[in-house]
Amino acid sequence: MKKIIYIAAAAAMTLSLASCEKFLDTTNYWSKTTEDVPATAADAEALVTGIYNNLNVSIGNNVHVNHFLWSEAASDDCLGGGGTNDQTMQAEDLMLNFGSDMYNNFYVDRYKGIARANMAIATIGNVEDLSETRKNQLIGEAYFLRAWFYYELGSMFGNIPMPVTPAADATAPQVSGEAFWGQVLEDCKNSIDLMPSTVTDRGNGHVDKYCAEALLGRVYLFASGFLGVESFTTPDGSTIDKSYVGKQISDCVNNSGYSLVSDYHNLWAYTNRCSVEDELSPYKGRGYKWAEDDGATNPEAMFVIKFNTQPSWSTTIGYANQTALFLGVRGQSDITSKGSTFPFGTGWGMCPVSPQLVKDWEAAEMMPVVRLPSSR
Amino acid sequence: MIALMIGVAAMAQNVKVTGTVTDALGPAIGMSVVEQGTTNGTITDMDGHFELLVAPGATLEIGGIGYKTQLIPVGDRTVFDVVLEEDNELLDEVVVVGYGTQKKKLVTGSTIQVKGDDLVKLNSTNALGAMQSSSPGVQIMQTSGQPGEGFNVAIRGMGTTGDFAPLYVIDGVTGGSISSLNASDIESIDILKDAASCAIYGARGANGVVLITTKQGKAGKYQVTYDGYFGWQNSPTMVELLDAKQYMAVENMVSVNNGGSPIDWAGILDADLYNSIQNGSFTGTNWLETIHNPNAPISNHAVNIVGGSELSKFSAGISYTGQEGIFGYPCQSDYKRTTVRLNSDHVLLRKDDLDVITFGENMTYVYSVKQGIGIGNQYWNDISNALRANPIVPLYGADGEYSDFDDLQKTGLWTLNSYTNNPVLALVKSSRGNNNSQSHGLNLSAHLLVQPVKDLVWRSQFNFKQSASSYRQYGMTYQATNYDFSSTDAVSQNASVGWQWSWENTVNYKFTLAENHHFDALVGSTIEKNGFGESVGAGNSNGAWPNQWKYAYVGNMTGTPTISDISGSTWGDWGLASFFGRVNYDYAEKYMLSLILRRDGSSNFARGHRWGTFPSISAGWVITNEDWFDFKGVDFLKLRGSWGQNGNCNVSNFQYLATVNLTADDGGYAFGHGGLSVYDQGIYADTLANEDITWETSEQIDLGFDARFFRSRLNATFDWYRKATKDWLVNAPVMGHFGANAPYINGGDVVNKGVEFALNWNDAINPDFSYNIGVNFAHNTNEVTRIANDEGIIHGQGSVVQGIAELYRAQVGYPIGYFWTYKTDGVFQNQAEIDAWKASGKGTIVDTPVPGDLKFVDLNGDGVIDDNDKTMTGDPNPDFTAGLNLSVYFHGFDFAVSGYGMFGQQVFRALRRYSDSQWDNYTTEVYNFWHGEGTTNKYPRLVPGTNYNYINNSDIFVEDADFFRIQTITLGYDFKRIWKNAPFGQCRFYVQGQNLFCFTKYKGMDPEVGSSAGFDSWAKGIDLGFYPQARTVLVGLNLKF
Repeated sequence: MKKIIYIAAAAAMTLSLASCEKFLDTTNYWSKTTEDVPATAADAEALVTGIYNNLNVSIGNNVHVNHFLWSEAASDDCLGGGGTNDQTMQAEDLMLNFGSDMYNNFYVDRYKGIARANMAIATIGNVEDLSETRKNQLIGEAYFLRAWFYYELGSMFGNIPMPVTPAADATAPQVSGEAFWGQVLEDCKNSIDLMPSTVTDRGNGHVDKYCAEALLGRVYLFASGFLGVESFTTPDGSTIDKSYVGKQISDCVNNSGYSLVSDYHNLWAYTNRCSVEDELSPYKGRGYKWAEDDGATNPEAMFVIKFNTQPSWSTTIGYANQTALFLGVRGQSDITSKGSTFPFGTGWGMCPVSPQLVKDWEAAEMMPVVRLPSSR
Repeated sequence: MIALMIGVAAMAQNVKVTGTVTDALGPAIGMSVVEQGTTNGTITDMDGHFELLVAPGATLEIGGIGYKTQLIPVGDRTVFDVVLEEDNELLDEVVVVGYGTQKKKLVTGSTIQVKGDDLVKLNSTNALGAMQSSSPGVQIMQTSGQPGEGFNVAIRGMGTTGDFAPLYVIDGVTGGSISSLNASDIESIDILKDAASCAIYGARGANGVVLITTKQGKAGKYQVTYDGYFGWQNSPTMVELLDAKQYMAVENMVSVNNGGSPIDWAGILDADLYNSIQNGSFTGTNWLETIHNPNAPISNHAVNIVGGSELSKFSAGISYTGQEGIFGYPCQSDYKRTTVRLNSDHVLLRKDDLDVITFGENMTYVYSVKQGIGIGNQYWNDISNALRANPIVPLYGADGEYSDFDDLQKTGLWTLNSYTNNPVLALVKSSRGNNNSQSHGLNLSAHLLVQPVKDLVWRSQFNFKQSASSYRQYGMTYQATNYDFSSTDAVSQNASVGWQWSWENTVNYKFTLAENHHFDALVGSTIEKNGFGESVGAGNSNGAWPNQWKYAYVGNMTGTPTISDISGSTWGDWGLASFFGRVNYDYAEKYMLSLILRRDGSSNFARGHRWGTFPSISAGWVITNEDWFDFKGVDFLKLRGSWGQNGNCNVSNFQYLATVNLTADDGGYAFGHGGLSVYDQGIYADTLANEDITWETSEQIDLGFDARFFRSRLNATFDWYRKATKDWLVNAPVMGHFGANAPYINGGDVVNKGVEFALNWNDAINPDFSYNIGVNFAHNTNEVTRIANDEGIIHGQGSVVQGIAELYRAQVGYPIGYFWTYKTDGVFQNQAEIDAWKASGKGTIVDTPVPGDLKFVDLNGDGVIDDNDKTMTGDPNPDFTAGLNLSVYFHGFDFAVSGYGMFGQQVFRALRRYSDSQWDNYTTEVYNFWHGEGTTNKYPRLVPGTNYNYINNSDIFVEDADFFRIQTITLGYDFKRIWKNAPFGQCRFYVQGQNLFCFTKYKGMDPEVGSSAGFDSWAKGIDLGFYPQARTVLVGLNLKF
């Protein structure tokens, strides 16, 4: 009797052992892996959307320290601003440090965008059910965004690792100077070459060839001015010099279809049709008309970071225009109270204009400066 | 003459004896009454009577199972009334170990057993709370005093920054929740602390194992019991907040100290409001009192039936617990739980005294409903809101409703602070005051035992567990301030249903060789599959019945849901397969040896990294059984030691894959076509892969002894242990330019070392007077020994209070979750002190400090105060825990005291959002801040919290939180003693006070802060408005039929 029990137990366990590995295999029902993405045209579109996502999320998560606000605060035009506890803003204005690793989060977030662009550039070509033109458009957009991200990081930090493939390499060396900017210019050039000359669906948030040409111009101006070099050699061997850049800019100016608005005031939201003629608006009676009234497309807007009304305090906070919030005038939002900020939105008051800039502006007899009533 | 006597004697054979046998509860039925040395006997009848013919000079042997046999010489008497005593020693005390039981005296590992009856006496809604005073080495800290919240349990210190909770096994089913059981359902809780005891749980035993056995059937008379109590709870202490006048004066002081002028309250405040404060008719609103729910009721009812015969026994019970919270009025927290239990055991085939085939089942069902207020960080915490709200704001507005927008605007306070709000309005209208969570849990298990020959048992147990939960929350429309408002009402609901199964087979053989060599061998395997479930969620806005909780369901909303409102997914199944074997050997119950080996495979890791082997060995020596041992007073002394390895596989699955994030709203971008509420889906590779990820291993050595002295009246247990956890699963530090989230790697080690000691004295002067005193203490040190990144640091989160730097971290050489701040050495009392400080080359936090500033210590003496001067200024892990249990039984009265304490821990307390708002209310501690030379050497001058004295984390916020809490004081009386004809066997009425005294210097409301207020789970001791444990007075009744 004992023997039978022992044999049965042993048999049961042997059987279990054999099927064990299979028993323990599990399926991931929530994410795909890098092995199976992108497979379809929709995957490719979504992959590129993911790169754009980095634009507003990195602002949402790093409001004080993203490239735009940092450069505004550090410049001579603006002070730090904010409230008494907004030490990061004031530190940026004075080029000081606050806390530990002040810019680390923005650095890490931007590299996420770069990694996504790297993956798109490397893999979209393999997707079968995508037309050649569409592939070129998508990869062109990825090159543009990568150039943009590296432009931001390079002008902020100077010497940084520069991965251009999806592999995560811990030994990647830092790149700077001509080698760095040569790569950024190459990305602009590739973007220009890949994307088509005719732009369909203007204002839809996607970048186009002419945006790439404009970016080429901006990057060239910064790099050549900062490094004192007139001609750059890209890693793939081409030469980017003044004449090449000049040609691209002419093409952009002449053929892009973008144009300037008639009056600069029309670029800003306070000239919207609901506020501009209001009793309390200091701007009434001047004939301003917001370029984006009723969802119209601003003819000047080439590369625009878009926001929407879907943010919440969770992962989607990036969908809110945190830049507008942080640059908003610090005061009372209640329109009837003293110190109301109408017609501007109330915000945290980062980057208030420096008094010197006001003096210079008035001395140069630019448009008259409007002063809002003080809150106290 | 002699012949006559012999003749008389010869004729006087067979005396007829009669009598009644009773026990503590009444007539003892079925007791055996035997003439000693013969087979002549009878059993007592329904009334306990017996009649027997015995030879003269005989001795009666009266007894039964579970009772001490009594020997009574017949002598001259013919009538005997005997009272039998229950015998516990006869049935060798047995403890539950993994997959079986073992005689307590033979156990070589380190375990604690707490009996269910003792737990019931402490009347705690969660059994873990009742164990705090009797489990040395097990740190049990409440995560919140809110009803229905759980406990932070660490056996022998935290072993990891991941999941450090022990494994709970309820009736052999792993992964249950102890909070689903009522204490009256529990037969015993056995906690396995050392590696040898836990080794048999292999993959999940690294953090210790808690084995819970629910009440099983017992052969014998049916016993029905009722346990019920009803009580009233209040907050044990209230922090003293400033009233309106005090607030105004303090804010003036702050403004002046900051270089401004006193605030023109008369000009700012509404005239009527200002006057009513000045003339004293309105003293201000004490918001903490306003949300306090006095005399919050708590109640519990449990009915249990136990009984059966030798062949078939069962235990059934139903219980209900209801507890309202002491804070959150008028939307106070609430918790209700109903548990139903039915366990039974049946012998299907019995042959000559051997139970050949036994079948049994255990079933528990629990239904609980909970609602709660915000207990998280300073943005989601109603107690924090109440502590910080402006006392000048009246609770009710002109229209008799809660002050809202118009009323707040009218006060005039918005010119000072446009965020001035009414925290009760926010509570009542937001989802923090309108939420409901329900959960159902069903545990079913069936087991079959086959015993073909004596002591060879094959046991097969199949377990099934189902759980379902649903949640609903609703935010109403309201307008409080320009920033705090909700123009649409919104509801969100979610529900989740799923099940799991496991199947366990063991073969156990007990045999003896050469008379004294006893073996107990076990081989077994289990397979388990978990996570068969689905969750769905939806939300919408614009209710058809606006602002009515009763009708707030997604189906009654008229709005259009957006994509982020809908969710649904599967739980994701995972499995575990294991093989294990154990051999327990003892020689004449004098020398013991135990060997365990377990091999586990978990689906959380990639193929090739799934399996782990966990061995352990333990040995014991019962010195008192040696012939040469002869010390009077020492009845039992056992030395024991163990070594073993356990694992922890509790990490999220698929870390070995490079996943691509598909979450609907996570990677999206709104290109602008289609309007502002539309965005396109985006995907991106979110996490790097780590194919090599595998188990955490914990290796532990334990040495200890168990002893009994003085007729077993004094019990002592001692343990020394060293637990090293290796390959602890941490988020890998990845370089910033990798562009994706870090995977988990096996990259951390921590060591916990300590001692545990328990002493228990149990004595009975006479059957009517007995007493018991127990004390226990434990000491533990926790130190991280490796973190696999350059810095050797796992960073905690910053902005625990908005804008402050990283407060806590895990670092090599320090305990997990320690507080990392500047050290201060008092306050600069005058300019001379400042000059002297600077002259000696010491750095200051600003170039020109003024009197009243804190002296930040320049630890490295480099003349600069920066991160290099930050150090460990506090540790939220207790160094030392203690428990006390005292009970006296005197002529039907019982009196008991239980208490526990934790020492050596610190808590970070910030009841104000100091860095963000100078207008937050203060407690009366504000008067202890520096306001002139010599006024204090601890707290700096009173200025807004953005000032360098406050915004730089320093030890002024870190407080010692040592405490000793008198958990219960109980006085009861068994009315059966005076009401002898009662239909009950026991009718005990008692009064109990819980948490009546808590001796501590801590200035917050409760020093036992076992949570991190919503930050990392490996941190604790952060008090941002901690919901305290209530002080309760209750009356109760125990009836036994």
